[in-house]
Amino acid sequence: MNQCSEWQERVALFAGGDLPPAETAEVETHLADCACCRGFASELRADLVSLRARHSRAIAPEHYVRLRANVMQRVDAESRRWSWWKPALAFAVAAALLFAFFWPKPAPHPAVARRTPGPAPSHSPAPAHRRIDAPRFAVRTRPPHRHRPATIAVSVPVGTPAPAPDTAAEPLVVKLLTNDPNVVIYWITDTKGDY
Amino acid sequence: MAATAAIDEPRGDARDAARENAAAGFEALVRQYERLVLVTALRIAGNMDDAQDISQEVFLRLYRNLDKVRAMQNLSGWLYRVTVNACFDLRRRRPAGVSVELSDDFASGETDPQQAVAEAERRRALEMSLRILSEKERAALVLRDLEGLSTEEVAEALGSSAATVRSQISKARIKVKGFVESYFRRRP
Repeated sequence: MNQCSEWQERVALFAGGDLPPAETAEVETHLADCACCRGFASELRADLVSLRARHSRAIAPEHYVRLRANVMQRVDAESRRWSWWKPALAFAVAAALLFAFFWPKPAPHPAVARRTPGPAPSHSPAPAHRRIDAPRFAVRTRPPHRHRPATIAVSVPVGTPAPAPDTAAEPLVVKLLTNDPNVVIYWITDTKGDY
Repeated sequence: MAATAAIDEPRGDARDAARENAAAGFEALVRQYERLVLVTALRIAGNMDDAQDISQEVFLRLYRNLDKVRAMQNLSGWLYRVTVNACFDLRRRRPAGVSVELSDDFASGETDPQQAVAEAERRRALEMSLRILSEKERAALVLRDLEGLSTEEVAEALGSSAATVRSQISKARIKVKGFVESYFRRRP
């Protein structure tokens, strides 16, 4: 057994010629004085030679033939499997472009589209909330529940005295209530009915 | 229009011919590198069936990466790396351990029959000693001592530093030698 265990790793590298020159010189100096490490190095060299000899035998040609046949079979299968994807991708892109080009564009929001002035605000006292069941304009909201027709109620907060027509006043806030509790629309107008 | 289509779009026959040409070209590449891949896989995996599976995977990866590989300077280095990784992958999928194929071909070149038998036994023990190595140690030893790559090339194939590879190689050699010694010590 090698007594110079601290040298073992370096001697193992030395035996295979894997040490840099400086370390090689150090190991050679040590080997000159240490018979144990010398024996270790020469046995290791012999082992490496035997291992190489063991593995130097050529592999029988039929193994290469088998490998080649299997590889080419798989390559052929793979190339056939993926040969459809280029035309399919081209078709998909063309279809997407056509769809995008011919798809009808959504109409602009009616509140923006119809910039007609509304009626003049009422100056007469009114009940706390005046309900208008039929809206004067179309308001597109989220789709209502399937079995309940959509209704929109407009509530106008009152109690705010109507300002004089020729003075700058606070805008009138119209709150539109829908039957969907998640949709509440505020319509802010000035006293002239513009918004 | 029909003529243009015929020129622009290869028909089925032409496509098949192109595919066959590509296949023939790839087969030439396989022939060129089959020894490198199969022998390395056999030395690391330890048996021919696994080596065949590994080699198929390697060449299939080569086929899928042909565009990248064409621009590559060092195809051998790439193949060594992919082969080693495929060996590691297989070992993880089948963690039963490396089974070393021990051939009965003990021809050692010795003229003395007794010496020939002793040498054959020694080689057998050496082959078995590869089983006790970790996968990295085994790969490092195979690439350095059996394939004859430089330490730097081994480091590239294993994705490690040269210093790590040197450490793995020295540990592997010490383990191999220790195994062979204990193998003959146990035998009468």
